[in-house]
Amino acid sequence: MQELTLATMIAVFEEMFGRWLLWGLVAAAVVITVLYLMVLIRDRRVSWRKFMAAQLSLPVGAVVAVLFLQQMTHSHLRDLGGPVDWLVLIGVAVLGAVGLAILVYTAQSLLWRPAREEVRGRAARAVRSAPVVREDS
Amino acid sequence: MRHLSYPEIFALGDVAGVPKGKTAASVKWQIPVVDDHLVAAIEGQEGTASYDGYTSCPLITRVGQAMLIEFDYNNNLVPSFPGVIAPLEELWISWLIKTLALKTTYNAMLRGDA
Repeated sequence: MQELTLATMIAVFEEMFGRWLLWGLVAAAVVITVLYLMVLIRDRRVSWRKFMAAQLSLPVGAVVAVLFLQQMTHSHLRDLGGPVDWLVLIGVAVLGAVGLAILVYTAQSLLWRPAREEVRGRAARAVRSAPVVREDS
Repeated sequence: MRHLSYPEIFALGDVAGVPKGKTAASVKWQIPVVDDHLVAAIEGQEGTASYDGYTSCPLITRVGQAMLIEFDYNNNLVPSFPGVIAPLEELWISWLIKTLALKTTYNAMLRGDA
């Protein structure tokens, strides 16, 4: 391509998805990312329990992303012809995996309050870090 | 691009008297050349851009694979992604570009956006 500017890319993606779907997807990605950052700031820590569930969704996201692309382009794994094809496949899989993992982590954080033991642990840490007040003072 | 006998006449695409390159990809390469010469002519000057016959000919070798072959007037391969997408290999990425990106690029081009 002679000129591959950002404006060209946007025009091509608008043509590919349709204007509303493209910007809807972009908006969804931005909203999910912002919510993810919000729950991280709200909880002030990564919940390893939720992180575990998010990790379990990694392969699901990877496979779904690859299958979706193959379905949309009428292609199959047997069509991979060279190293660059494997790099594209891995890239799509990584994007799908990370995207779904962030979505799963954020959804869990928004739907369920922190588990009781996590709250208890946080409370215990808060008590430990609180300034000591002498009773006779 | 510019008529030899009638310099005020410019042509692009299929109507242009070029020996090869009757493709949308060629038009994409021809537009900046005509643009340069047209603007220069309006300003009473001579344009400097030139067209080397670039054309793109994605060959579908089967459903799911293609060869992204690009060449000029002299049949030199002029790949857009040298070292990344081998023009003479049957690749999935070439099929993806052909099916997802090229038609959409040319449709966007018709609207003047690409």
